[in-house]
Amino acid sequence: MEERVVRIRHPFGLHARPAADFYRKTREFRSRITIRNMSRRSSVELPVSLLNLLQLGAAQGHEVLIRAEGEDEREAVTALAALLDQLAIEE
Amino acid sequence: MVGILIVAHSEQLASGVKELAAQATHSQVPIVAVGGAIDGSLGISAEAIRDGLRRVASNDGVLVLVDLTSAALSVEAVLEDEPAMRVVISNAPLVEGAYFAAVEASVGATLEETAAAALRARDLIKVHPEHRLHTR
Repeated sequence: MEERVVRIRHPFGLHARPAADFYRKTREFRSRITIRNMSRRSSVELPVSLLNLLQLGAAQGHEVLIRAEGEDEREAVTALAALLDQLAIEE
Repeated sequence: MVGILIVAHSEQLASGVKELAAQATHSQVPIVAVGGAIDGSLGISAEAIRDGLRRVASNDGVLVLVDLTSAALSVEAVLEDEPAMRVVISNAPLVEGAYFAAVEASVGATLEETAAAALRARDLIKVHPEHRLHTR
């Protein structure tokens, strides 16, 4: 199991295109990937889906926990954390 | 790749939904927007639907998203003359459905998977409970 906490730096948070980009990236891996918004007390750990990503309420400055379990868990978490940083730079 | 046809009573509405779905998928999915009557007023044009279906059709099929019921009826009528086309008309809300469907299609989903993704958009809760508190 591999996990990492990443701060959302994108000005719009994890919504619309950033959420779509994140979801599309998760589909490149075989591991079971979950996400949780650490900055919302009501947030629970959820399997990554487009619906769950949009409902995370992950705004700029929030910290999200990305967790992967499976054969490519390390690559998945590394790539997803890097993607979140990259999305912020692109804006 | 599954294609997406947006059918709305307004050309601007259809184009705007297409713009949103295309941006979320970096324009990787074939999306055609059809809106308004032939004379440019609000309405539905069977001819424009037929043309749109032909432009977006492939062996992978087409998912059609509509704004209101009469748009769906018009698409159904057109499809009676196009029995060979693989088409699903979605009951999903237009904006969310197009976004969900486009993202799913962009990762190589089948027509059935794309249609299921669009329907899941009906469950989307857009206003977070913690946000709702601010209206008090």
